[in-house]
Amino acid sequence: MSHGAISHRAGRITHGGGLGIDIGVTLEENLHRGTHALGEKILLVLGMALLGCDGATETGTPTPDLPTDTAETDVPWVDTGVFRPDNTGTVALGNDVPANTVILEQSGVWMLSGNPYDALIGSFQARELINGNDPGTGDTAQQLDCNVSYSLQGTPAPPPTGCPSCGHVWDIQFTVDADSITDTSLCNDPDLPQDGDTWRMGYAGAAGTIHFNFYGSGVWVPWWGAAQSGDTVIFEWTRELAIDIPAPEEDQ
Amino acid sequence: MIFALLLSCAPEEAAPPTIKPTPVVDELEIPDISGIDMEAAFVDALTLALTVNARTPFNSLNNSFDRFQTGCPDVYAGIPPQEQAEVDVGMDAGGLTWTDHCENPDGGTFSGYGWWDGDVLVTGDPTSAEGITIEASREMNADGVVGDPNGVFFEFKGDASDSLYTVQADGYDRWIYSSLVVGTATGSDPFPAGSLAPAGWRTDLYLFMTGGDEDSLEARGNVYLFTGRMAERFDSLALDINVIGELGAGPDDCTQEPLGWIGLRDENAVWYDLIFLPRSENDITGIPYPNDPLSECDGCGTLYIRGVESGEFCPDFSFLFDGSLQAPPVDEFVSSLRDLP
Repeated sequence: MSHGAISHRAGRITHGGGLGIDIGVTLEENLHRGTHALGEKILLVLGMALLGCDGATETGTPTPDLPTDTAETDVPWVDTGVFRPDNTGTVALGNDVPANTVILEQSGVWMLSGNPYDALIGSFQARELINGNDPGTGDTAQQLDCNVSYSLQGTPAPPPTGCPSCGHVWDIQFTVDADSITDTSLCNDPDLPQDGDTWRMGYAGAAGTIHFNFYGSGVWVPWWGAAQSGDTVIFEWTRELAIDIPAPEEDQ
Repeated sequence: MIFALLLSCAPEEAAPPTIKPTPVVDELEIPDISGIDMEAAFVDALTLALTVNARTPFNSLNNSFDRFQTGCPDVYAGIPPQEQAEVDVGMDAGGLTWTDHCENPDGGTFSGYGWWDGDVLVTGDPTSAEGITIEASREMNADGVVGDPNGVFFEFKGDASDSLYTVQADGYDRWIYSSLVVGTATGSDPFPAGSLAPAGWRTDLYLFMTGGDEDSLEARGNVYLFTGRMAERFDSLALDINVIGELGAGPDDCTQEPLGWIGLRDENAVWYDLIFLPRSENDITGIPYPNDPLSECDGCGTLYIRGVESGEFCPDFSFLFDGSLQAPPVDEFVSSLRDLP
């Protein structure tokens, strides 16, 4: 490029390569150039073959093996960098079936005291069942890796603006019990409270849910299904997910 | 190879082939831009660039949840088996992945996979001297299509990540938002009728912006539009700019124009580069900066078309810091298993 100081290829301003990838804007140009170069090569090879081998056949000369062009090329013979979205609605859909599943089970209880309520104690249990195995029915040593029990202690929190349906709101500290079967590290739920966490939660009786002020963000998310009877709130939640269980490594 | 062919099998009387040389263009043809409002085109380009961020795929992923049903698609805790989906993140990655090739009774179709993960952390008290700090981040790796009876609802292939950092205290406000998308997005949800990118985009754009007590914007990368044209002519943009607002500017900072350059490409693959002040010493070390000695802090850049200087243009980028540049609400970063039906 001799006109001006900007080079799109080798100069300071390079389109399409700013973050180490080529996007279509340059690939298309490259392909355009590549098509010309490829066309010229093909024409050359075809021309040579036609000029040379027609005569060879007539004279009965054995046709030698074609040499292989091993020279390196920077021509993008196959465009593997461009992804053009397609409507894949016509793709055969086979409904993949996961080989393994995990059931996340969470349940617990709040016990409230005071009038109005000014204290909360309770418990919470989180466990995960691989492929539906019930710990009471068989060998579950490898099938119930997550089984955590917590003690809860709550102090009243001010009514939140983000959860108008919340009746009573608490700052609840989660403490993993000393005799908990496992700790939380073996659990798959990405939003399981860690030992010592304090979560602000509110009970919305009309909705039958306990809401969680998501990590203090001010966004109140329905967290557990719940029901209050007297001074006791019972809650639970279940979710089934697919899960990959890598095959155990065989001893060499 | 050619000589080998000639020597091995060409008859002696064969004439050497005539190779027609590729025609050489004697003079660069510079497109006529007299009918184009180039300044408006560059404003449109920067406006579009601000929309090319990770919020687009994440918002559409969240909207896709309404189409999820039990078993279609399958949702994995963490990463699915490799034979199921080749999720391009670490093996120990947490998060969730949808993957399947299925159609559910409501006509939702799923093909491919989408992995995502995120964190929100809030600390402090807004009434304290230190204030309240929100740190939120999320990332996505996907190669999947979510369809509905009307066609492609949302399709994304690639990686997207963004992060939000805000500090709010009495009399103090600062936010920082950054985004990197290296991928392709399309679909009726992220790009509804009237969208600046009607059929989606392919990009590797990085954005970094600040607001509150300091206004600034960095944008670096490329955007290609599948359909739709900026100023009815340009299908791609490339840029590498720093823009400094009045808030937080130093005495030597230029707030009248961006630092760096913005390029537009027309459908004939001709680039139109508007060159502003250099971003840093590195820009002018070694290779002379293109518009030197025209560089002045005057709100104008020098346009180069196919590398040929083609006049000065002064796009008005003041909209950047008139309040329209906003951090996404933290709500967008709130995502959990509870969002899934």
